[in-house]
Amino acid sequence: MIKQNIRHETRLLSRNYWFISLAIVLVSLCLYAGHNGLKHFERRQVDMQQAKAAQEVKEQLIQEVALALSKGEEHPYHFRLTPMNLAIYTGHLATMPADEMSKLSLGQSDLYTHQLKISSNEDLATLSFNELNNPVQLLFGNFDLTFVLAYLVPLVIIAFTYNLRTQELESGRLRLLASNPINTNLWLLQRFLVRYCSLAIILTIALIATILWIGISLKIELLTFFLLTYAYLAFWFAISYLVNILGRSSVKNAVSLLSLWILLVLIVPTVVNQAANTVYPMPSRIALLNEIRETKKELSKEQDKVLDEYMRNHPELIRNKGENAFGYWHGFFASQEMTEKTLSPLIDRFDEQLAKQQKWVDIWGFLSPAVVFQDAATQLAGTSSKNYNQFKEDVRSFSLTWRAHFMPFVFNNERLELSDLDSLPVFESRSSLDNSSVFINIVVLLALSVLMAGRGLMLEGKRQLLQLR
Amino acid sequence: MIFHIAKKEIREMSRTGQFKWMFGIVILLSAVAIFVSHRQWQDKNLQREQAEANARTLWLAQGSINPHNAAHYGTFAFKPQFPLSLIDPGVEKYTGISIFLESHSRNEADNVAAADQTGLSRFGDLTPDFILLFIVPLMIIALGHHSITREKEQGTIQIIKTQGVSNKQLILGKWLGNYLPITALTTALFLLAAVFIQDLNWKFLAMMWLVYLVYFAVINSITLIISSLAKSSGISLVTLLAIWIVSCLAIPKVASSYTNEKYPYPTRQEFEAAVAEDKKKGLDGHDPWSEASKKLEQETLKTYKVSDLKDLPFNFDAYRMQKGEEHEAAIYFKHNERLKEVHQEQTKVYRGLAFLSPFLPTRFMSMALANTDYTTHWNFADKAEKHRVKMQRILNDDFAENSKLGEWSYKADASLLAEIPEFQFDAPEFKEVISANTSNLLILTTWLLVSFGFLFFASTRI
Repeated sequence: MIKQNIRHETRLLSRNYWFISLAIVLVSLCLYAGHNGLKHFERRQVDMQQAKAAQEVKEQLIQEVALALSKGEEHPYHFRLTPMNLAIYTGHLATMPADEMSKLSLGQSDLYTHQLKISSNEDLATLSFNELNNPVQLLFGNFDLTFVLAYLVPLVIIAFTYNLRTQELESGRLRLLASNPINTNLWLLQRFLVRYCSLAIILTIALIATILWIGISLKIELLTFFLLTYAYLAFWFAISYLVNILGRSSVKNAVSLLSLWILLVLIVPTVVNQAANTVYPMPSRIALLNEIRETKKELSKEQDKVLDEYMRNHPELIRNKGENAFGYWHGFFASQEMTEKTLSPLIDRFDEQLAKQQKWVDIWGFLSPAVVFQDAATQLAGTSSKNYNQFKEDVRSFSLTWRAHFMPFVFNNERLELSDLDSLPVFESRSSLDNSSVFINIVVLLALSVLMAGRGLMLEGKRQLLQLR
Repeated sequence: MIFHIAKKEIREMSRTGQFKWMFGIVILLSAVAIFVSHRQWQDKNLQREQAEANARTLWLAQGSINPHNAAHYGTFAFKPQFPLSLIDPGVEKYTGISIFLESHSRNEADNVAAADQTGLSRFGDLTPDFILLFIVPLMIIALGHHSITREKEQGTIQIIKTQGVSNKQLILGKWLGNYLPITALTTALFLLAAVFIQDLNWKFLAMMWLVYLVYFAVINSITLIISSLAKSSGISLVTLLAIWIVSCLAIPKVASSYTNEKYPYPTRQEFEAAVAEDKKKGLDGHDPWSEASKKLEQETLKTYKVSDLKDLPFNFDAYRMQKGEEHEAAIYFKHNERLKEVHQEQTKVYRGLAFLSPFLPTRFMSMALANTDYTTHWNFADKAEKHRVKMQRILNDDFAENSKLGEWSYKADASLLAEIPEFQFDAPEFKEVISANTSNLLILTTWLLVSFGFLFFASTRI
């Protein structure tokens, strides 16, 4: 039966001009979405190069000054080598390079910045990672490949399959088929599989064309992205199969499937998101602003005590020469550390709450295949919230390293020498996350597909024929 | 006759299970959305009011202090949460709500809510505007897609025609029959929201209600046009859904991607670097050795006809500080105006594309009426900047008038701090909002008229 079925379906599809136009539409959608991804990627690259170049100019100057001073020459910019000037004004550039895969899914990359200047006087609690952007753009989102695959392709699948069985039922051919010694559900499943494969092939061609055009090299993440796409397609084919077997008329099937699409793609994600915000509300950031000021004020009243305690915690900074003439910066760093220590429980609350929200979303997100798909796709592209949280964490911890590196110089009132410039800490973004959760998402999508297909297969395929009598 | 048809439509509709389910779900979602939004609105409002009061207390608590130290200590400007943001939070999630006001620099609004949420937040929130903009149009399509095709499929269209009903009457009756339940639903939703809204301004709410009713009228007309022209209910439904997806989801995203490519914003890094570059060229209030400072010195001495800075009737240090401040404010103004130009260009693209989708003018009108659009945010930022400049002037003037050159230990009376007014940002007047959005209103009206025109045309094709 399978051979005949395949032959029949392929003939049907190849003679259907609708199917061919669909293929053209899909290819052009993918290409356009790919184009948007590529442009975004290119801008990210250019922006980063510019930021890096600007930073290099600053660092070059420092090198020059240090070189001149090491030769015993005078330099008008000698003050650039004082530890505080270097730590604050030259600073360091932390960057989050764009992965090639980000052309496929823009994710959160339009919301956050990818280059951040690290300087020692920055308050870690109020460090902003937001990129300058038109908020209307953020509100509307981007037309990227993930949007095409997550939102539009399911609709194509629905249009492609909603009446595969009911058409036969309505025209009376199902009765004819049922009189043959075959399992009609299995027959239908084969038709679905053939269509699944045809759409998968078209989409693969569209994706490969897009990828070749926008240029992404072959790697494990790319293959996983394909796998994810196939799993997502399978989910929608399976749900359509089940609805086909349960449904009695083509119109009702169409309405049911579209309602399911609206529910799963549109409503469930917003409800899960809203619930996460309601169950784990974020503490008030603006209240934090005042807390920070109050704490600073309290500490500044007891400046000497703060410095004393700081020195007790950092005995390595105490100078042995006996003359501890501490100035403004010594007090500044002492109170900076104390402020951060005092406020850390408050600041941790934000991270904790966000972690709880993420956990909630990770669990309840499984209610919507679109969320499962989007989550995995952005992770593969390196543009998910998780990637940006990682970057934020890396930046914060590097800031502490950066600050600590200059402390001995500050407390010894020493200028940096040429040789010291080589040992400055360098920011390294941890390349990528562990993507094993992507495979969980794929497995979940596939498991749901198999479950739905299995359930459909088990149902009595001829019952409606009996009822019609 | 039209009303007879409408009545029959509504009666028939209300008897179907599909209608009951759909209505039930939408009402439930709306109630949940309003309830949750109300709770969050209240929480946020309380937070803002407390933070505002706290910031003022901290500002005043500085007591007797050097005016320039007070200027560095600074204070905050908070964007108030407007009542109608309960219905449409607009771009609030992506714009900051507080601006730090200090000397020497204009800060960007901070505390962006979206940055404190998971990636799922990009799917949207379950707020009343989500239901009005996305779900209700779907409901109109679901209810109305077969209103004419059904008659064709059942063959009842011939019978109706023999009753002496003109096609126009039929289509208008059907239009009304589909529209009235939606009107009732929308009105109920707005009334329910009105109960929860504090300090309600009826004009804004009524206008918003009207805008949505026009939007739904357009969608309803499109639904009936397609239903009249389509051969079967299935084709009608698929076509309408394709129209819905294109106008509500695809076009806004295409617009967003296109404007981003054509008129990109500079990155924060670039923007700040450009400002810093310009600042370096001019007067720095803290740097008496720069060229610009020397020039100012000479000019001032000449103006006041004295030979030594000490002989000036004011503290030149503070005077220079104020001049530096003015110079920096001009730089910030220039760069922000450039940013605004980009924003204007982008807005033009959105307006141009609004002819492709009735969603866009409605989206922009709704945000504007709720005072949660980008323009309101710009107004807030500009107002905060004006406040900052004024604050610096008061502080520097006091410093200049009451101290001598080099007298950095000078402390002003605590009453000086109270002279700095509290920051106040009010919602724009109704007229202002309307005049700023005439093009959106015009486009929406065009949509209404054109869709009605096509409706009459379609009635000849039944």
